[in-house]
Amino acid sequence: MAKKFPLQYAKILYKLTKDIEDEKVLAEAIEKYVEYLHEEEVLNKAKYILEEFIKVKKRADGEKELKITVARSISDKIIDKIKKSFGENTTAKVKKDNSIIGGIVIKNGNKIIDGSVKRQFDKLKSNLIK
Amino acid sequence: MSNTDQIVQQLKKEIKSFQKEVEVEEVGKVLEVKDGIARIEGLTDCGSQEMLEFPEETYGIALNLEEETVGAVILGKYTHIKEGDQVKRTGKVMSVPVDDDMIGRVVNALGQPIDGKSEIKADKIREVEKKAPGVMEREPVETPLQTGIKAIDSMIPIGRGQRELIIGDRQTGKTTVATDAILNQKDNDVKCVYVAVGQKEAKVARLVKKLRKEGAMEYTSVVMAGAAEPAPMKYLAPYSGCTLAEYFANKGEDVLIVYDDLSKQAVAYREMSLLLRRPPGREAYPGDVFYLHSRLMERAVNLNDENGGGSITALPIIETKGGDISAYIPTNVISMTDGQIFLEKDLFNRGVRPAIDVGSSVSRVGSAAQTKPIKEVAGDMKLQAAQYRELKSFAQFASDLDEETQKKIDRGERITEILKQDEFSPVNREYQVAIIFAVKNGYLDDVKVEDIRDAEQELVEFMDASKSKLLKKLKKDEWSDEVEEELEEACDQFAKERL
Repeated sequence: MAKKFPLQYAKILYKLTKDIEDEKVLAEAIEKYVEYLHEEEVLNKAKYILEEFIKVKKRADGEKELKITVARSISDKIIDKIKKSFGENTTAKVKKDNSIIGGIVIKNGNKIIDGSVKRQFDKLKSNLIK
Repeated sequence: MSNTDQIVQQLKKEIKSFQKEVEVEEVGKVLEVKDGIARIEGLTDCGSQEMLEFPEETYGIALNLEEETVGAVILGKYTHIKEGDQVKRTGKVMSVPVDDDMIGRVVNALGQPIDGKSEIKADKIREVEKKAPGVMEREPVETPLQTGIKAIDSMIPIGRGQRELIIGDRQTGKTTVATDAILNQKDNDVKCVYVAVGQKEAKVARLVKKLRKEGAMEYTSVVMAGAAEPAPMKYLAPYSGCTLAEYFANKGEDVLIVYDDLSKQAVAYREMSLLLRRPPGREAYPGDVFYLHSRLMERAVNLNDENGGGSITALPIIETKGGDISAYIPTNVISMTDGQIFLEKDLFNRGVRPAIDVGSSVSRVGSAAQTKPIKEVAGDMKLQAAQYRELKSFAQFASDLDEETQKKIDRGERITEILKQDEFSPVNREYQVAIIFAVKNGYLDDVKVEDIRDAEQELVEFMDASKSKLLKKLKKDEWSDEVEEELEEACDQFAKERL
C-alpha cells in the first residue's frame, strides 16, 4: 500500500467527524483516529495533518482563500471588490512582489488567474521570437 | 528607410496586433520528488498522458491519476524540483515536433537536436501516442523491402509494412543487420528512422559517422535516448521515432524504422512503473508491458492509397540473455511481430556472419514480399538448408557416405558459404539472384569451399563487366524462360573463363 499524504489523513478525519453532533461520541472518534494514526506510524506528522484539516474544512464550508499578488499596494476597496466577485465567505491574503512589474495575480485554490504585466511581456516576447 | 527603421516598424506592428488576455491556469503542488518521479497534489482536471510544466521549463508526463494525487515522470533533469513547487497543466497530450528537416539529424526523444547543428524549425507538432491505423486503412504487405543481406532477402523476406524482429544475444550482430538494411535503402526511395534506446553514446556516434560516410544520413533520421538519459526518455524514444515515421508515411513515403533495442525500453518502463508503485508482475515488469510493445508494433503499417499510400516497416531488436528466447519480453515481442531473425552466438563464433539461424528464423509474410527472380531462384533454399543441417549432423556419425548424400552436403556447405557477408556491404538484388542461381545450379561445385567467396566476388565482377544487359533486366525484376536461359549462359561462360 502506497504511503498516504497528510491531506489524505485530513480528509479521513473530516469524513469521520463531520456528522457527529454529540461531544462524547466526537471524543471517542478522535481517540480512535489517533490510534489509527499511531498504527500507521504517522503521529509525528500530526501538525501537518491538522494544517491540511483546517484547509479541508474551509473548502468544504465554501470558504475561499485568495492569494493576491500585486506589484504596488492596492486599496482595501479593490480587495473587497475582488473578494465579493468570488462570493461570500472569501478571505484574501495580499502579497507584494515587484517581479510581476504590474497588474495582478489571483490564486484561488488550484486555479491561477494571471493578469500580471510580466506575463504579458513573456507572451509578447515569445510571439516576437516566432 | 534604413534597416533598423524597418525592424522597428515591424516590431511596432507586431506589438499593436498583440492581444492582451488574462489566463486562467490550473496548478498543483509537488508533494514529493524522487528518482525522476513526482507526486503532485491538486491538478484535479489533469488528463492521462498530459504534459505538465515544472519550474525552469522542465516538463513531465502525468501517468498515474489517483484519488488525491497525480504521479508524473519528469523528462530530463529533476534535481532542481523541490517539495512545494508549483506545477502547471499545459492542456496538451505529450507531443513532439516532426518535419522533413529532421532527416540527416540526430534528435533526442523530445525531437530536440543533439548533434550540435542548427535548430530544427519544425512547425508541425504530433501526439506521440496515436492509435494504430485500423483495418480499413491498411493493405496487405506485398512490396519487398530489400535488406541487401543475402540470407534475409532469399529466405526470410521482409515486405514494406512488415514487423520483423531481430533477436539474439549481445555481440551477435543485431545492430549490424539493421544498419545494413538502412544502408541498402540508398537508391530505393525509403526514408529511415533509427531509434537508439539505452545505447552507449560512443556506439551511436560511430554508427552515425558510418551512415554519414556512406551517404545514408541523406535519408535517415536518428532518435536517441542514450544509456545516461533518465528512464522516461528511453520509454518515450520509440514512440517519438514512430511519430516521425508516421509523418513520412502519411505523405505517401515508405519508411523503415529500427528500434534498437526494445528490451532496454522495457527495462526503463519497469523502472518507471516500480517507482510509480504500480504492482510488479512476471520478472517485475508491470502488467501492461505487453501493451507497451504491442501498441508500438501495431503502428507498422502498409497504408492504402486513400490514406496516403505510405508504409512503415519496423525492425525491432530484442537482446536475449544466454540465448533464452523463452524469457518474458522476447516471447511477447515474438508473438506480436510477423516473424523473427534469430542470431546465434555459436554461428557468430564459427565465423558465419551474419549469424542468422535459418532454422529458427521465419517471415510470416513469406514469398509475397519477394520479387519474381528471387522467388524463382531461392524458392526452395530454406528447405535445402534444413536438409543440409540434418544430413550434416547425421553424417558426423557415419564413416562413409553415398555419393548423393555427399553431394548434398557439399552443396549445402557452399550455400552456407555464400550467405556469409561482411558488415556494411549490402548486395544489390540483381547480384543476389546471379550468385544464388550459380551456387544452386552447381556452377560453383568445383570450387573449394574456402575459395567460394572469392569466386562470388569474381562472378560479380564478371557480370558487371560483360552482362550489364542481363543485370538491368534482373534489376527491373524481370523473370522469364528467356532470362533464365541468359543467366545459365552467363554462368556457363563464367565457369569456363574464370574458374
